[in-house]
Amino acid sequence: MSAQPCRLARGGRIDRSRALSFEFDGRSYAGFAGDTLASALLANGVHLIGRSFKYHRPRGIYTAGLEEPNALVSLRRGGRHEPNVAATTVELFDGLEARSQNSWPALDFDLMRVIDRVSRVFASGFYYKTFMGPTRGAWMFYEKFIRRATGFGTPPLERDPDRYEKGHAFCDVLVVGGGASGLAAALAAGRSGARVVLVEDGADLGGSLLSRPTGGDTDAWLRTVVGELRRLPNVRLMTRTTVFGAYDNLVFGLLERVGDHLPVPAPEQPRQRYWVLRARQVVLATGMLERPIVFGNNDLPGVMLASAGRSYVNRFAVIPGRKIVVFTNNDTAYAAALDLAASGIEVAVVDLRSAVSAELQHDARHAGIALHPGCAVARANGGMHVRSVEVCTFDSAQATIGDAKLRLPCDLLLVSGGWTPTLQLLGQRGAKPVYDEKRAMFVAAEIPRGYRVTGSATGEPGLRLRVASGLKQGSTAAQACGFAVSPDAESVGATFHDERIMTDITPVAAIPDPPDAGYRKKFVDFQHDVGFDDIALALREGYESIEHLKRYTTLGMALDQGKTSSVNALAIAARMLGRPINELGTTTFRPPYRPIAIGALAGPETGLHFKPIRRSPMHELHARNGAVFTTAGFWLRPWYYPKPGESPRDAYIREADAVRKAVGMVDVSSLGKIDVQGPDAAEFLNRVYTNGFDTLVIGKARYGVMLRPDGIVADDGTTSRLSENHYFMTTTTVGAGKVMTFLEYLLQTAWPELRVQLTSVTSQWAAIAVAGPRGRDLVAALVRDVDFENAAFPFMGVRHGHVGAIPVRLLRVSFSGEMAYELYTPAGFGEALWQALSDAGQPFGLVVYGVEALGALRIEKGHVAGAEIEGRTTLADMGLARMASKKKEYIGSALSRREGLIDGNRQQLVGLEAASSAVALRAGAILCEPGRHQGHGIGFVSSVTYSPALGRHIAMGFVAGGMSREGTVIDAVFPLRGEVTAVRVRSPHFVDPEGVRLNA
Amino acid sequence: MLRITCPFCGERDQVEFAYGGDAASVFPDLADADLDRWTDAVFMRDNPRGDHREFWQHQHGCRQWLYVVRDTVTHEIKSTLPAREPRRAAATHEGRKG
Amino acid sequence: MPEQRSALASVYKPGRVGVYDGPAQVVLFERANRTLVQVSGWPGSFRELCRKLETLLACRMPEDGLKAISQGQRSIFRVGPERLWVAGPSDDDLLMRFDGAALGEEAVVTEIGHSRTIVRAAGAEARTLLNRGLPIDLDFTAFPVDAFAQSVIHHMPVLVHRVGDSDFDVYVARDYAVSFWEWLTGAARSLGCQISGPE
Ligand SMILES: [Zn+2]
Repeated sequence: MSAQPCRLARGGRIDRSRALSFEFDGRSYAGFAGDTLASALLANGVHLIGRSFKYHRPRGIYTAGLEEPNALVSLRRGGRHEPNVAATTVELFDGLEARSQNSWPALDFDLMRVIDRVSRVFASGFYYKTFMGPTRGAWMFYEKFIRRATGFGTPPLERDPDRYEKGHAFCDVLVVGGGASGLAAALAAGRSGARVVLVEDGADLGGSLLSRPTGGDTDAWLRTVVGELRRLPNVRLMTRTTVFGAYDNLVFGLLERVGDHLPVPAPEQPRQRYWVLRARQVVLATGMLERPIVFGNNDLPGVMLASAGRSYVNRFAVIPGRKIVVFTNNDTAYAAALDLAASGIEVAVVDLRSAVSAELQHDARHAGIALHPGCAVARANGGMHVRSVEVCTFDSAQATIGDAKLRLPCDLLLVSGGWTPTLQLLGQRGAKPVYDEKRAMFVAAEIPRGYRVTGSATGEPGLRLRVASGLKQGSTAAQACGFAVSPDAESVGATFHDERIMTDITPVAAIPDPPDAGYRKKFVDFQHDVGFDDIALALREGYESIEHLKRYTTLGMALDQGKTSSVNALAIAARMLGRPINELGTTTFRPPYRPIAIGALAGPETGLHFKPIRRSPMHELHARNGAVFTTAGFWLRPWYYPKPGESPRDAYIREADAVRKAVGMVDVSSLGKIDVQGPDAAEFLNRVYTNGFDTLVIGKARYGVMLRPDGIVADDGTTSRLSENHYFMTTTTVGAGKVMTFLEYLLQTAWPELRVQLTSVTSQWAAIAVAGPRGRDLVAALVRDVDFENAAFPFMGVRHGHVGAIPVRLLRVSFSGEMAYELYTPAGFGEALWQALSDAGQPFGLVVYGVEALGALRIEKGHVAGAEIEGRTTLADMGLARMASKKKEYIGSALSRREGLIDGNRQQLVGLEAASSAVALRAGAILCEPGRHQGHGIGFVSSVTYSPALGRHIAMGFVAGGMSREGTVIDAVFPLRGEVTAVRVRSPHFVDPEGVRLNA
Repeated sequence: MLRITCPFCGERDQVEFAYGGDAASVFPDLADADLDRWTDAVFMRDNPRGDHREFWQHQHGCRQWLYVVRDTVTHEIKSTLPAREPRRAAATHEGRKG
Repeated sequence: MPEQRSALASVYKPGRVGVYDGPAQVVLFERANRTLVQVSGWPGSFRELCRKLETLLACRMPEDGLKAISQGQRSIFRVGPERLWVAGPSDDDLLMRFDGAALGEEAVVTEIGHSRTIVRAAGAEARTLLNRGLPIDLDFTAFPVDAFAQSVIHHMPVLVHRVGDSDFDVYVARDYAVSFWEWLTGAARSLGCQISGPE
């Protein structure tokens, strides 16, 4: 740690009692609490921070805020490594580690600087012109070198160990910006009782007041106002928070940096919190940013904005140079010049304007400042840091440069080219600002409903007026929310004397090259290394639209989104084209206003919490049984239950085999279940199912298929009639939500006259299917109050019984083709029912099976499922034409008869079996005529399984001509793996086609 | 992100709602099996600049289907009504495009 | 009736979660012994149905979808224009054996007593905790005692009911209960949270 050679002995808003130590590029330095990384580096005389994006030019600290284009560093290490952070926004903490970026092998000796020497080659459009067209192949070769040579910091490679949170917030009045006018707005609104949220990007409230000398009357005003705001319970002050996005209907995205100012977040606390805030009114007190002036070598370390110079000396007690030149086209830079001169530093002012006000001339003379009116800095000199500037005479009326006048030695050049109100949030709402030629700035024109703009964001220079406007806008915003504002709401106890209001400006964005000054690069967008010449080139090549200019040069497209460059680029282009700036328009602003970490947007929704999981009531039992789970929609379902040493394939084959030979049970709780009740329930079901439901008798169930309105099959399931007006519908697991929503849609938009109530009861019922030749024996042994004789409880029958005290609804339906029952019980009894079946099942050889065996059993029976009902198939395609009632119309019936859907050449469902028992089949394989493996073939394989009953792989698939190909052998081709398998076309009813097992 | 006012639940976030398509098109009666009319209702859509009539379901709220008028330029929600109420009015006075 | 198994049985561990120093800002527990009945009607006759229910339950019926009516141990929510949920303790015989027949043809009763898990979030930061995921304004001015809202937390549909100044009941579909509990206890870490025994 060393002394801080550039720190003033007194003053500033830093806490000298808390010395902090930090590292930059491996070297140790000292700073104070209240510093930013940038101010602490400057206090230590460190100006060289990084290398530029494309040309590897040395770059320093250009600003004191989030608009910083140059001083990008990487922070922290390991999983917390973060690239591309502006040093001007980093609050210093003890032990902070920062590294420079984009230099090789070292920051002060960068071999890639050679690119700068040949930079004419790398002008805008270079890559495009060089590597597109006939030479495109070369890009493949050179890309990796070019990618290494250009860019920003490197991304972290390890997992981010920090927590991120999300929050939803609501308020009446949102105030964006914690400067004088924002505080005033929050105060006026807060006094009315409105719920106010004030959001400030920095750690401290006060905005530009913090850059004024300490101890002034504005400090007292600030203390009074902030004190009152803190006492108002309805006002929430959120510092270290950015409003990065303004969305529809007054919804805003906020990022709160909870732990970024700490080495690591406090225990259990998040690093950042992403807020979605809904406001009823918003007041933008977003301030303004200073504009640079473009001249030769204007990117040298030691060149910075005048406002930044003022901020460093007053707020941080840092003297960023010993011999300072201030270059300005307006009055405001004099504040910086005077404050620095007051610190005993040698200051000269080069002013583009020949007529500087007498007052300023007097002040300058009084402060010992050498004034050079009617002059321009044409070029900065120096290798790694500014050493001197070339000053030429300048005709501000013609904006032409004259002779070299003198060379001023200096180690800091402060620049002010005017100001730009911060209106990005309005821009995000599509409200484009307009250019005010007189004030040389973009100001708000159209203000969207619910929005107000106050303070410097309006371009108003005077502090008193800005505060008055803040109070006014805060009041009216509260009134717009229905709050009464008392007459004294707009007075603040403390007062202040306004600084001299300075407004005069000669708008010149770029200084022309003097004839004898020699060529030097002039940068407009520092962060993307876009120069004056690049704009000229783009215009020469016809990219005159501002959106084209932006994309061709990449100007304004870096991390800083052109905060210091966009307006200058527009002014330069307008001048070159000889058109007013307003004719060129502005580019579109989009969120975020400043870079946001992906982690913050993801919030806690990672890993386990990426999405919620739906679990069946018997989930824990499955887990204890060693089930391997698979997902179906949001559900986790048992996939198979491996015994020790069993492969997944062994397990499902064993499970499916046991069902055919004895009995198995499977958890089907995830099936969608819909309670359908009402006097028109039968009519309703008749309209939505392709087959008839009004004829279904009470106590029976029926398989039903629904079509989409376009005639394609939507979903299937069984529906049982519990009483005259009460049906119980089941859907597929994945289709449940869609079916429910569609049925509600029909009832509410198309048939509001039908008296039907729909309720999703998926969560209410646990469901277990018991299947196998011993299924009836098992169920009959366990369930009382039901007669299980075939005649008393036939296939598709529905009965109610009990297992112990547990009520059970039984449906005699079968997906496996075996004697089978579905048992439904209220979810809280699901475990008990499963356990009872499990206990009673031992003598019957009961196995539990998962969805893989379930799939195997249904494929053996040729039952269609999600792989067949896949959004393109009709009833006839799946061999279900008999399901289409001819006695009625139903949803989808009209369009199911359109030409394309009844074409005889459509691909239709067939069964497929591997010609050899030694080969496996794959779902997704393309079916082709033998040896003719071209194009899309003649069909595809939808579902496959190993069939224990047939001792080989079988499949379902769709093939042109369908069952007319029965008995023929075709090829199943899987090009990704280079596989060709011969398959025989056959009926999809592989096992027990007569269905005798259903009643066995 | 939109804020949509459900006539029953009040103003809510878009995340509670699901878009349900163009509300200017209405299914013909089921008994009417005319292919052209069904093709029109299911496939043909206007793409207006400005007011657009559309269905939204308050899926995570009261589950009502809503008839919403939204400006496609500004995203402003001009009105919301329960879908079962304006259906007939909408069907008759708008008619379908000629 | 046999005992219902809690959907949270496998993950429920009373004790402190997250920040340990200082008092817990949130207390969480399952309201295990509750039941729920749904009664639906139609536009023309819903008013009359409500009157019958008022007689049957000896309690006013809610007028809108914003505020519940709580009386004794029961709370009644109007979850849709013509749909009510009646929640009560599971020893409430009337609810456990709710007989729709008494309400006539204009009522549809649906059994949903097992379909929801109810979690109580109480304490000074209960509101903060819920708003980590819930896009509903829980400020007293907008959401007073007995206000309720059906909404969504982290993709999971919920009904949130303010039962006291800082007490909220969250009804979540039973199959989401474990995920919801994991989300809730995870989000509570930075606040300091006490999980107490089910009630
Ligand atoms: Zn609603």
